[in-house]
This record gives sequence, C-alpha cells and structure tokens, in this order.
Amino acid sequence: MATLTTGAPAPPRVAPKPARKRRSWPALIPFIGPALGFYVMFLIIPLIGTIFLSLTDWNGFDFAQIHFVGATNYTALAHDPVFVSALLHTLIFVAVAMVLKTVGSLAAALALNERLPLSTMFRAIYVMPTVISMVVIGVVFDLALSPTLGLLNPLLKAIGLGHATNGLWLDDPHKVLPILILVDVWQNFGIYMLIYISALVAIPDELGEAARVDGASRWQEIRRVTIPMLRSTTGIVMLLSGIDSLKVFATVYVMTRGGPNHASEVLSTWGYSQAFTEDNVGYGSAIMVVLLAIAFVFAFIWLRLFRSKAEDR
Amino acid sequence: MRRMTRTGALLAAGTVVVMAMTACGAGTGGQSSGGSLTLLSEWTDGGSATSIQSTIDSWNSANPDHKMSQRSIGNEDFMTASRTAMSGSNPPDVLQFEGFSDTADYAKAGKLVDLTSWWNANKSRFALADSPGVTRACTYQGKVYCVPMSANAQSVLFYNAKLLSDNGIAPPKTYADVVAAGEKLKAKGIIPIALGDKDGWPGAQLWMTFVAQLCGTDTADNAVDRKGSQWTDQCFTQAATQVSDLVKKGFFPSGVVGDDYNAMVSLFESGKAAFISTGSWFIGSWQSAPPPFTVGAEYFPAVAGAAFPDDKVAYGGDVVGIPTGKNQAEAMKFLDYLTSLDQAKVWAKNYYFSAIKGAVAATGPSNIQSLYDQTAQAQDTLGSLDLQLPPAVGQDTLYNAFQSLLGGKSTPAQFTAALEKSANTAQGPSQP
Repeated sequence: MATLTTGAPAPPRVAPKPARKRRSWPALIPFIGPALGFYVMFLIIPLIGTIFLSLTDWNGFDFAQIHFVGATNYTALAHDPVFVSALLHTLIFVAVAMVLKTVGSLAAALALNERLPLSTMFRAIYVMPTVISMVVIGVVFDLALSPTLGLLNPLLKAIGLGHATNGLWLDDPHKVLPILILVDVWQNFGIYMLIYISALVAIPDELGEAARVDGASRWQEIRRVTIPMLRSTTGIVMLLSGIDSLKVFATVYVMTRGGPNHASEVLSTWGYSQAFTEDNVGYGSAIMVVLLAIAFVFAFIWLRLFRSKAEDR
Repeated sequence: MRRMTRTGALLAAGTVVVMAMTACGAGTGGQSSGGSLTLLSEWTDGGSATSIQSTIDSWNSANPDHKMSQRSIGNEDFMTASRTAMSGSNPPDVLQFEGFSDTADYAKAGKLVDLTSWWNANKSRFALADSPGVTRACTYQGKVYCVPMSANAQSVLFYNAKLLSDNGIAPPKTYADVVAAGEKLKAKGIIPIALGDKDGWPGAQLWMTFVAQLCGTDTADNAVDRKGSQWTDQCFTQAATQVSDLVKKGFFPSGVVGDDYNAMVSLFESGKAAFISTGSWFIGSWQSAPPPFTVGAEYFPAVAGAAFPDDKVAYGGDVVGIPTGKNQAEAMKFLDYLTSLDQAKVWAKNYYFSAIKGAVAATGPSNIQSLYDQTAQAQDTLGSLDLQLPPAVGQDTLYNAFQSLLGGKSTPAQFTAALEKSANTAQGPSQP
C-alpha cells in the first residue's frame, strides 16, 4: 500500500514513558527485609567468617588458640596432593555432569514434549529423584552397589553379564568417580528437564509449522529451529547444573567418604574433612574459599558468555 | 492512604525485628533455664542404648529437678559431631567419647573438667585402671580428664561355631589354625574373614592387632609419641605384611574397602563368613539382635614368633568426661551415678563390657565372662592407635593408606612410609 508523504517524515509516535513510581526505602523494608536479613545472617556473615578463618590456623576448639597466618593455608594447598586430586576430581565432576545433565534433560524434554502415551508418567518418574534426600539416595546406591550384599552383582549375573565386570564398584578407584557422577546426573537431570519443557512450550508453533512447510524433517526442525530457540535456556541449565555439581557433598560423603584412598575426594568433602575431622578449620576454610572462587568465576564467565551470545542475536 | 501504608510497613518491619529478637531470646533462655542436664554419646543401639536409657530413667526419677536428656549419634559421624559440639559455646554437660587425642584437644582448650581428684578417689572401682591403654585415653599433661565406662577388648576373633563344625574345622587356638581354617573355608566357597573397611577403622584395627603382638605396647606408644620409634620400623611393616598376606590368600570378601562395619557384621551374621575380627563391642548388639548361631570368641591368636604374644589392643573404649559449663556440680553427681556398681550391673546384664569391677561377674551373660576376664586382667594393653594419633595421621593417612594396602594398590612398606611421612608432618621427627 502506497503512502503519501509531505515534507519531512513525521517523528515516530512513541508513547510517553509512564513515570516510574518512586518508592521510599522504609516502605520496601517489609518486603526485602526478612529475606535480606536471612541472606546477610546465613550467607554473607558466614562467608566473611570463612574467608577470615582461612587466614588463621584455628583448630576449631577455642578462639584463644587462633593465630593469624596470612596466606600460609593457601600456599600449603599447592603442596597438598589430596587437595590437587580433589580439585581435579571436582573439575571433572562438574564438566562431565554438566554435559550429561544438559544433554540428558534436553533429550528427555524433547521426547516427552511429543505428547506420546505415558509421557506425563515419565515426567513424574524423572523428576522424582530430585525430591528425594541426597542422603537417602546415597545410602540406597551404597547398598545396591555393595559387592557382597548389593543387588547389582546378582542382577548382572542373572542376566548373564556377571563376567563383564570384576564385581567391584565403589571400591574400585577407577570406577568410583564415574559412578558418583552418574548418580548425581540421575538425581538432578529431571528438574532441568522440566525447565526445558517449560521453554519448549513457550516456542511459538508457527515456527515449527513454517519449517515443515519448507520441507524440513522432524530432526531438521529440532536441530535448526527448536534447539537454537532454547539457547538461553541451555545457558541457564548449564550454569545451574554446573554449580549444582560443584556443590556435591552428601552423596559422595555417604557413599564413599571420598575414598577409597581419596579416589573420589572432591573439594567439599576434603574441606569438610580438614575442618571437622582433622581439626584444621583454617585450612578447611581455605579449601572452601577456593571452591567458592571457582563457583564465582564459573558463574561470571558463563553469564558473560551467554549474555554476549544473546546480544549477538 | 500512602502515609498509612508507610506507617504500616514500618510497624510490620518493627514487628519482624521484635519477633526475631524475641525468638532468639526465647531460645537462649530455654536452654539456660530449668536446670536440666544433657548427655552426648554414641550409644545409639544394642546393649549400650538400652542401658543408658535405663540409667537416665532411674536418674530422672530420683532427680526431678535435674533431669538428664540425651542425644546419641552413630559411630560413623560421632567423632565429627562431638568435636563440633565441644567447640561451640553450649557443650553437653556430660560427654561420652573415645579419649586419646580428643582428650588432649579438649583439655588443651580448657573444655574438660579436671577429674584427677575424682579419679584418684574412685579408681579402685575400675578394671584396667592403671593399664597404659586407659591411662593414655584419659590423661593429658599428668591430669585425668575422663574415666572409662567400658573395658573393651579390640583384637577379638569371633567365629561361627556351626559353620566351622559343619566344615570339619575346630575352633582355632593358634594363628596357624586360623590360616589353615581360612584355606579350607575358601576352597569351599565360604568367605574366611568378614571385613568392611569403607570407614577405615575396621582394617586399621586388624593391623593394630599384629602391631601389639609384633612390636609390643611400649614400641607402639613410642612411635605415637615420636620417641625412639618410627612407623617404618621393621615390626610395623611386618604387621602390615601379615594383613597383606591375608589379602593375597583371598581371606577377605571382594570389595573389602567398599563395605562398612555394618556390612561386615551382616556377612558374618548371615553365615556367609566364618570369622570376624573386631572389638568386644560387637557383643553389645546381641542383646537386641542375637546371631542365629553359637558364636565363639577368643583373642586373635598370636602369629608364630611374635615377640609380644600377650600384648593386646584393649582400652577404655567408651570414656566419659565432664565438659566445662554451667552444670558441673550436677554433672559430677551424674558421673558418680553412672559409674556406680548398681548401674554397672544393669549395663553388664545388657552385654556391656563394663569397666566397673564386679559388674560383669554379677550380671553379665556367662558367654562373655571368659573374654571379659582376659581383658580385665591384661597388663600390657595398647590403646587404639588411630585414636591416639592426631586425626590427620590416625584418621586420614592411616585409614586411607590402609585402604590402599587392602585394595592391593600399595605394599606394606609404602603403607608404613606414608604413615611415617604424615606423622613427621603433623608431629615432627621422631626423637632418639
């Protein structure tokens, strides 16, 4: 449709921005006060306390025995072979678990979004482990994987796969970390699946229809339309699942105590062991500060990465 | 309207703050008023749990103004939980723990009441009162900070009498008998010795049994004290070799470092394993869950040529201390009550190896008398080494390096070298 114009084009009509209501701080206090109070009391203060303790040699019994030692605990970390292996285990744990949780939850979400029979039941089944206590899950897997009293070895034997393994699971230094990663993935991927399903529902049907009209197969539609539309969701899922794995403690502690011989030691279990079992609260705090720093760096890089990609789009 | 909202908001905020302050105040007041006593222990099951409840019930009936309440935590997490409780500002009034390095740590921090006078006045009532094991468990810089509740033997070899009999094996009297029985059982597909070392201490205790026999109490204590002995000395490595040999013979279940103490007890009580080497506390579980077969028990037989065949790993086991706090006077009265012969008889009746003389003889089951007498009369008793050493050595390096040995990932010499290196770091070099 042609448009007749005279003279200079009229400036675009922009609706006047409504004046933002200015709220005074006292009025906001009831809304943010309780949460802020808890946040400061149970996160910020302990955080500052942990950083302070990491600079001391406190044994955890008596503040009269506390001495400021500067960065000694941090320099000692470099010479602690258990810390180095725990750091490596933590990084492997985070990297592998993050990829498996993201890929697994995306695959499950795509499958269950197809409105197949029983898909609602499977959603519930996959989400169920997330609501079970990590300690309970640790105990159950520990029992199931026991080489002498567990269920897995007799089961493998019954289906003719007994010869495929040596019957050792959590007591095999080469298998223990992969098993713990799989347990973590199994427990947590359901919640990320739900996040993906929510995002899938929000993708307009017209995009898929347009792709199908243009002759795209279902797989091409998923690869070229659906997955790119889920990019920001994927960023959030990877960030949350990575931080989730970084914090892993209960399942490792219950199932292996970091053993055998530190083969499954991660930063959280080694820090806990140092602070509460070996009475090195200062050193244990330094380990926890390192864990915190990794989490911050990880979150910062990840958010920057995905924000810049979103801006590129 | 706006004005009212702001006022309301301020009132709400004030209410929240006041409520929070009131809640805090109420919590603190609730803990300090009322004059009640608290006990923290690891007496969670078996005869000890039944016994402490009985003692508390009778104490509370007699002392309604100073009622005792208890919190018990399972052995696996007790060490950590008790240290955390003692480091806080509100420790229990009475603490059951396992002594040794914990005693030193608590005493050094001024967290335990000096019981030297009480002990000197009352120690004639206790078995093993002057034994090295009990003395080292409770003494710090010449002062006594705890008293023994139990006279546990640590190096006991329990056996399934029926399983041995069914396979034509007589109860072993010597170490050679144990090895011969193990070979025969293994050939028949029966696990010779139940062991689960996930938590580190069950395996370490087996090594300590051989340490007592091969090194003797004095040498082992000198190694702990870093005075004239090192963990790399030949006898300590030889003790590790004894365990390593049992591993090579296939006497332990597969996955020995993946199962815990409960699993090893299950293996034994289900009849899958013929022997179990653990402490006399195992008997305490028989009161509530007796094994479905006759259990024999002897001290672990000495290896051939052992220089100290009669030295035993035995110590107070459960010790009781009084944390410094507001209820010390009443807590001391409870200690008197807890260690009285009348109460000890209740404990002995429940299969508890009471440290109070005469209790087990009076009410203890007949099948524990012989083992108890051997323990109570032992002279050279070695305190549990993992508890004697600083936690970084005894509960980190010892447990983990021993897991590596049991898993076949290291040699006896590497095990003792790791222990010596850790002790050197934590305690300094051994002095001549």
